[in-house]
Amino acid sequence: MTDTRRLILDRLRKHAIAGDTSYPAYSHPHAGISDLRRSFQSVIESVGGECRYVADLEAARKVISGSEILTAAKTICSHVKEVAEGNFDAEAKSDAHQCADVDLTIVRGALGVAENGAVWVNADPLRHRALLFLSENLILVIEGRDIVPDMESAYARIDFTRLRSGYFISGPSKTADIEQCLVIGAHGAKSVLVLVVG
Amino acid sequence: MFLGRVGLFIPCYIDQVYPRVGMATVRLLEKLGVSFEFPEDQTCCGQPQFNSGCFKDAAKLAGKMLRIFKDYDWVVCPSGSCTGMVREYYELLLERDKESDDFKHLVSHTFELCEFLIDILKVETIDGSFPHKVGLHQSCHGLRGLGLGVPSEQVLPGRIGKVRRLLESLRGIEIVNTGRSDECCGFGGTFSVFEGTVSSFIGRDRIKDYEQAGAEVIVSYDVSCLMHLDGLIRRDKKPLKVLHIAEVLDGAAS
Amino acid sequence: MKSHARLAAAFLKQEKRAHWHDQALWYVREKRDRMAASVPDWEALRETAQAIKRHALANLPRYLEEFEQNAAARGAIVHYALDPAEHNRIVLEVLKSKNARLVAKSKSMLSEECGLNEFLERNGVEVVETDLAERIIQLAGERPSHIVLPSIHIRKEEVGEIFHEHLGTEKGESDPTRLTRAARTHLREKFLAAQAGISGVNFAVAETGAVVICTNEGNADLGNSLPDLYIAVMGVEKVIPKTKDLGVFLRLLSRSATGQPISAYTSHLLGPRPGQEMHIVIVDNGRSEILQRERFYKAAFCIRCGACLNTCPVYRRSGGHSYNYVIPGPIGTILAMHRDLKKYKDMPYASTLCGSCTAVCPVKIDIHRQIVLWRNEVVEAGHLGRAKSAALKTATLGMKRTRLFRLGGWTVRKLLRSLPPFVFNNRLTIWGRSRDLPKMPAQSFRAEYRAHSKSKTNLSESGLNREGRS
Repeated sequence: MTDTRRLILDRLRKHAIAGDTSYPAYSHPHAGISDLRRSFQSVIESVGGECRYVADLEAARKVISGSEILTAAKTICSHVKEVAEGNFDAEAKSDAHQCADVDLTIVRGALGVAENGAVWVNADPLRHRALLFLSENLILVIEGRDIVPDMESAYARIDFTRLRSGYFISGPSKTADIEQCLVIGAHGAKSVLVLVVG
Repeated sequence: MFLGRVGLFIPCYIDQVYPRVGMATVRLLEKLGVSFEFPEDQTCCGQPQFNSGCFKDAAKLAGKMLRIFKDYDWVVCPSGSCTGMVREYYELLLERDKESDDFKHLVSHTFELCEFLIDILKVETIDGSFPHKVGLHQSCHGLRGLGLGVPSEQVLPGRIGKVRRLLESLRGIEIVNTGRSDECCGFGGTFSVFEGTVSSFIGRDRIKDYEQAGAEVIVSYDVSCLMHLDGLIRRDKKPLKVLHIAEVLDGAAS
Repeated sequence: MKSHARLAAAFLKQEKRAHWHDQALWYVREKRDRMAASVPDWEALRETAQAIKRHALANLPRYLEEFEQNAAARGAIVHYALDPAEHNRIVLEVLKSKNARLVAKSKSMLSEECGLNEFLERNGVEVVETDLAERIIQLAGERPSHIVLPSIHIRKEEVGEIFHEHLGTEKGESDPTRLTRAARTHLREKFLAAQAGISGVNFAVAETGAVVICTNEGNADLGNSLPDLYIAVMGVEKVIPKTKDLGVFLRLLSRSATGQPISAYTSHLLGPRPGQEMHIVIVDNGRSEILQRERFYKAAFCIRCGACLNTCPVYRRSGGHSYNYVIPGPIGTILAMHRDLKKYKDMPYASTLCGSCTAVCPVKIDIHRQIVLWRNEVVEAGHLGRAKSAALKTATLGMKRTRLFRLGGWTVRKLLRSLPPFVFNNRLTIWGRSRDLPKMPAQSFRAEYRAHSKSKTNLSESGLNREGRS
């Protein structure tokens, strides 16, 4: 292995790349987004998700309490107790496989990106990161002030020093692998609702 | 406007198979008051060889081109593809001459006919009429190689392109918009022979685009694309016509 | 091995399917166009992406070491593999060490390149592809025909048949939603049963040791979070310097690939999850050689978005399987040639050189220019073929001397004018098989022009007509 490593690195040193090979100074903000909130919402909708703006967590609770997604869900794992109590404690399970039948998971997201509707979810507080992908449905709760315009500003805000796993999630799981027909719900969540609080 | 010596570069297939395109170019330039010469020693720019990978053979012809045209202030050619050959690819063929002033001059002063009209002669409009529905076929080499327009996949201003603007100055002309605005016609030089089936399939799709857009005439600045399309049109007995842009402009301008 | 021209001709025999294939891919290209246009800075973003790649790959040893150190500090075990054999051996050894017999694998072009699945199967490991398209391909016993849309050549009715046979769906079922649901159920079982997950890598960040994976289905995430063993395999070229650079590449990748603003899931993994063992296998397999070739090194900048396939008029009309190499289309061509010039000699000729590939490429690889340069390599190596070489040699000879050129043109015109059209517009000539030849004029341009100038300048019949007949 060390021999291979040295051999590869030596070979790579003999590259023929010409021209300016310095690291570029750059900034490419996604200009032209006049309304972050509206853009964020419309992109989420365009990728098959749903986005609701609510004044506070109490309002969030009201929005989803009567919703179909909550009433239809038998097994609910909530990490945002103010929004819904939930009836499944994933943290108490020793193995992620035990979370295989979760219908709905509610977690906090740290950021929303207006240019692509993605929500940054730091999975480290969860005992089982697999929950995010096993759950049939997903509700992501973010703060209104955490919507940023673009990926450049998103990455500027994410701290990787202690992070073990983090995800940008943009809408539900999907595939178009059969004749380019879009089907929502491939392996991960079949629906994603983003609740923007404040 | 004093231009100096203008050399007319007529691609081999225009010389031998499409003299009418060459003559239309001649009359058009004369109408615009350009005096020019046709150096009789010219044959071919070497594109068929280059395009097939035979760089050494192509280099012989490129060298000949350089010798013939180096003393002209401007070189004008009624073909986007052959112009592109000189401008884009001669540096790959004439490695030894690459740094010479003659070479640099040739490469920077060889112009496709339309861009010569627009960029050098500053012709903005042609006084004349062409009351037909036209499908403008922007050949790939002119579009992407020479930048005669902005290809549909690029996010840059100027999508309409200079050739279309020039054509649109003709009275009565209607330029139709096809579904795929700048899809390749499938000619591709020796590709049309090496991969005849795919080439023809692409060509028929392109013709369908023009038909569906209601074009009566397909106009291009490259006769090579038109030769391929026309071959398919005539085989399929379709009513479409093809014309080189020089023929259109010369016929319209009185 | 059949040539691209022959395989493509066979593909085009099923005209309706060929049109569908062309239009489905064009639809993706159009989505890509809309998404690209929504980014005001698009062309500048491409420039930056190339500049980052240029820098990263020129300093790859340093960044690989940095990545390796950071990933190791997070608890990942990093391996290097020179070639497919070493890569496959490492993966197998790791799997064996954990006694893993069932692997949930997500899409990786590198593993296709290395023939990993076949190797593992031969060694008693069951590999289940979990990306829907890859699973379809796997069940059908085929290989991908596209790097992002691997099953684009398969129609839904055929998927129905494959699923009926292997997953027990109802006979005649061809509804994409119901078929996808059946695959979800089937693959969920596999995810829960697998002892290991394997995935490719989209980006590896030197600065943090993060491995970044983009998927729409969420399959890579189930595969890397559920089992106690996860193996990420990546080419050396996947390393980028900084986290910040992800902001450039991710913005380009999904927009270029499928016309999405971003993939549904973009996962950043820094070491294994608690209780898991994570391995990263970094593979060269010829990439260092690509980087050593002055004319061709940019091919290694590729981020595998597939945009050049979707835009290619030839790829759309010939299907991925006509290219013979595991990666088809324009980028496949300029990668295949590094592998085996002789074997893939016809690939560079499967292009009209329209240049659209270069114009869509998010990292601005000069793809069409490389394609024509590869034709030159084929010729120089003597692989063009005797008939083609001879024809071109003769043409050159004729064109070098103006007199011969004129004589040749005269002869051809005369001949074609005197023969009835069916002689040349028939199935036996390559041009005439599906196209008519142009009608031959009586005179060449130079002859007409001479007459024209004469009448204009009113010159008398002085001097001999040096041209003779032209």
